[in-house]
Amino acid sequence: MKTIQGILIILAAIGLSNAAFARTVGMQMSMKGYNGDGAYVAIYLTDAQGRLVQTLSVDGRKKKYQKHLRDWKRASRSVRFDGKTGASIHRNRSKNMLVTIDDKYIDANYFIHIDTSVEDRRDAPSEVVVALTSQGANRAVSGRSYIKSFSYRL
Amino acid sequence: MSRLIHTWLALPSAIFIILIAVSGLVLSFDPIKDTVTAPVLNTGQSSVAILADKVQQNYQGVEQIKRTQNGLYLVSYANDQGYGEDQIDPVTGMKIQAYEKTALYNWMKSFHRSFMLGDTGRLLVAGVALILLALSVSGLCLMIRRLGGMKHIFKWAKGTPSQKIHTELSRLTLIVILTSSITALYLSATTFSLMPESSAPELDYPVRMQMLTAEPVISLSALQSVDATQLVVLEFPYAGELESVYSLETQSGLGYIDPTSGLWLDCQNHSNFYQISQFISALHTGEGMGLWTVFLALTSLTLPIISISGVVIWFRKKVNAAAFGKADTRSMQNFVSSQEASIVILAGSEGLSTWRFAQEFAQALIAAGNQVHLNNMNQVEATYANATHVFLMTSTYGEGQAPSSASLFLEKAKALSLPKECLVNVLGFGDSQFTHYVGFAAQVEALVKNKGFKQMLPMTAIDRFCQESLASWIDKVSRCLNQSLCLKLDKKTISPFQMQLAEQTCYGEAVGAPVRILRFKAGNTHSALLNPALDTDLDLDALIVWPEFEVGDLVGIMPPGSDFARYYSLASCDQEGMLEICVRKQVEGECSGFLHGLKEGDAIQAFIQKKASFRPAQDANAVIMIGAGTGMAPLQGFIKQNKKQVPYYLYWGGRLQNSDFIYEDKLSEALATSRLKQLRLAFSRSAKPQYVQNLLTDDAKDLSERILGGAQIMVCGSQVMAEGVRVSLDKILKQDDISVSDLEQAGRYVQDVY
Repeated sequence: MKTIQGILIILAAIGLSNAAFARTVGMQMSMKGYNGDGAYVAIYLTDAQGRLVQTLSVDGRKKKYQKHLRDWKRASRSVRFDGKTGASIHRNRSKNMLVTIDDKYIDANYFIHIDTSVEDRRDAPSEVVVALTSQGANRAVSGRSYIKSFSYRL
Repeated sequence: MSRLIHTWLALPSAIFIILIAVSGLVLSFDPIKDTVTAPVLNTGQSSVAILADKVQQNYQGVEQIKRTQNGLYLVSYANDQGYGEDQIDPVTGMKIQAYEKTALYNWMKSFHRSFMLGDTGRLLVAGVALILLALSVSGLCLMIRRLGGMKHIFKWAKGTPSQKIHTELSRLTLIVILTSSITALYLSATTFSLMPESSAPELDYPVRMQMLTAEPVISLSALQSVDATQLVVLEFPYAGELESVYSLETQSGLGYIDPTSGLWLDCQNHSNFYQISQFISALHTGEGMGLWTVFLALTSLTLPIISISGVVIWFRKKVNAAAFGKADTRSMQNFVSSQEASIVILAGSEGLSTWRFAQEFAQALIAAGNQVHLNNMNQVEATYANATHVFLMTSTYGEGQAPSSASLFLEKAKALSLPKECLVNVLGFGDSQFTHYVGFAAQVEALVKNKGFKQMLPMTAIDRFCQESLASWIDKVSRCLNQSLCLKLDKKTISPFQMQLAEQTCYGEAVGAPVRILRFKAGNTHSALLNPALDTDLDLDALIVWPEFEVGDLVGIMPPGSDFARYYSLASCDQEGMLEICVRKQVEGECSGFLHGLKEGDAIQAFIQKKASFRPAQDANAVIMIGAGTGMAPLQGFIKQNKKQVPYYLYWGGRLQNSDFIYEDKLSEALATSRLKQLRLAFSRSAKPQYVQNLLTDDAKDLSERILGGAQIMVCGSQVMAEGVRVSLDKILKQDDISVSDLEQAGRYVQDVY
């Protein structure tokens, strides 16, 4: 009985400590009614100099087309993305995501970038660039090419 | 096997093939339009540096310059005035128009790839591509069989219009269809990751050592060294961002270029694998492939036609088969089992005509009181216990191959045993336009001989369901069975008419082979007929007074006491008001005896059988006519009509000049008026006996010259003579490397043989 209690206490402590350093961020993105097939989308976090901090989400499964997400590729440099990718996002669709972001990046001059690319159409690197701040949360921004609105929830 | 595969793959997929072809056709317009309308930049005319410089003069905030595979130059830009992508003129760098694929194009592309059904659709499309490949291969096998072997692969197709369309269009587009379906399968395989992805090499973005300000693009040596036509995509560095550099992809590789020094920071060539897979997808899309794209478009256009004609062919067969199936069940009850039957009929048929004839023949035998068993040749059994007669009737497919319902016969019949006294008869159906026209029947006969079965009659060949030869075969069979068989030979109605003998001329009494030229005029309907009326076993149309006929057609006359008509070649046409035939009296000949016994004024009934194949060709620059005996009659008729004075050469063989030289006066008249250019005669009972074949051999040189020059050959006479003529001509033509069958196929060798 004691051991179980001990384990529970330790688990709770880990949970709490985790909560102290990172938090779950909800993101919502909806696409415009553009003329074309599904869009490849990369959402990633950079510092003020544009250096990659964390890739938050990649949609579009074919590696050979991911090079069209140019700024993300460039920021990644030699870091190969090995996380899961979703299917490409079609026009007029929306997508909700939950990502875990370290607390230290919030309100600390870090930026969320979104690159998009659609077949037979021009690439849109850094179509959306928004600062990751408590003030900016829940405020929708739109992109120049394919993104109708993007917002995050802290 | 090929046929089964072809039919059952094609039927369910036809609609999908049509949909894919139509969407492919729409998609192919784009590369064609781009290639035709895009301003052309020649190799060596401009470098990427010059191009980039021109573009920068016209655009602020250039992000990217791209050259599509079709040769369009596109600029993406983002500045205060706007944001977008334009097509530019690569010479001036000026905007032509904003660039965007049409909604129709995007829709069609998506449809062509996946029927708008996502991954399920992609699988479906891949399946259709696989089916199309299988159809092409099985279709090629069928076509080779149908045309009679590889060496005839370039011959014109024969058959109904839909069969012709289907074969000809498939043949024309075969290469493109094969390429399209194979490349489609390759593309699908990469989509589903069954093939390794062939991406361009990935190079890490370089780190600049010295962050100096950018120099003008035109001064950058790496960009100067690349021809503008080699460009795939050039990405510009971000303004005011000193870390960023140019990235350039060309047809041969990609790399990064320092904006200050203009030197390559890093570069790598495309792998061969990448270039090959780019080429494969270009073969499929036609992008940047010039004329090939037009072939792709035309093929997409013909595929629906091929599909539809294929379905029509199938549907026709189905309808025929259904009609025949009904007839079958109605009559089947009269048949007995294989072991009870005294007469066994086995038929090998590709279409249904042979089978139909076999059925009619079986019905006639049943009507005459026989126990008959009828089946496909493939259903041959090991033994027929009570059989007294076995009839094997078969058509031939292609170059001597078995028709589908006899494909297993030769194998199965090896085990066949028949009662000792049983007689076998082989009947071969075919079309003498083909070289091996009763080839399979001959193989069946060889097997019959090999097994030591007794033959009732030698194998009989029937050319294009020729009524005369069928009638004579039935006559012989009737005699052998000692039964009178009554068959409806042809569903076509015939129109009997009455005619009266007007004049007759006799020849050949002296050589014991009396020949008469008989001229009939329209009969008086009240006069009594000397031969039986044609109302019992033929479908009759109304009685007519005077029929239409041409020289070379046949007149059918039924002698008293016989059930079958005999046919004579006509030497006159209807407009002359006289029907002229030439009849040699055969020993014990029922009909020739009857005709020779006619007196002026006697009335008989007759009907016309058209034979349009036996005519001088309108375009022939010369006609070589070869005949013997009464075979002269139609030839003389053609000569009489030769008002255009086309050079006609007549070779004729008779017995004795003074006795049976028919039409002597007419021929000298024709020579005088140039309707006949040359007359060569051979008499077998003269002082210097000669046959018509000897004349041919004597004139070999002239003949081969005329034949090579485009002359047509017409042969009329007995079977024996025709065979001799064929052998002699083959010998003469051998050195020119052509044969009589070649001429026959080209329609330049026609015969009327009895």
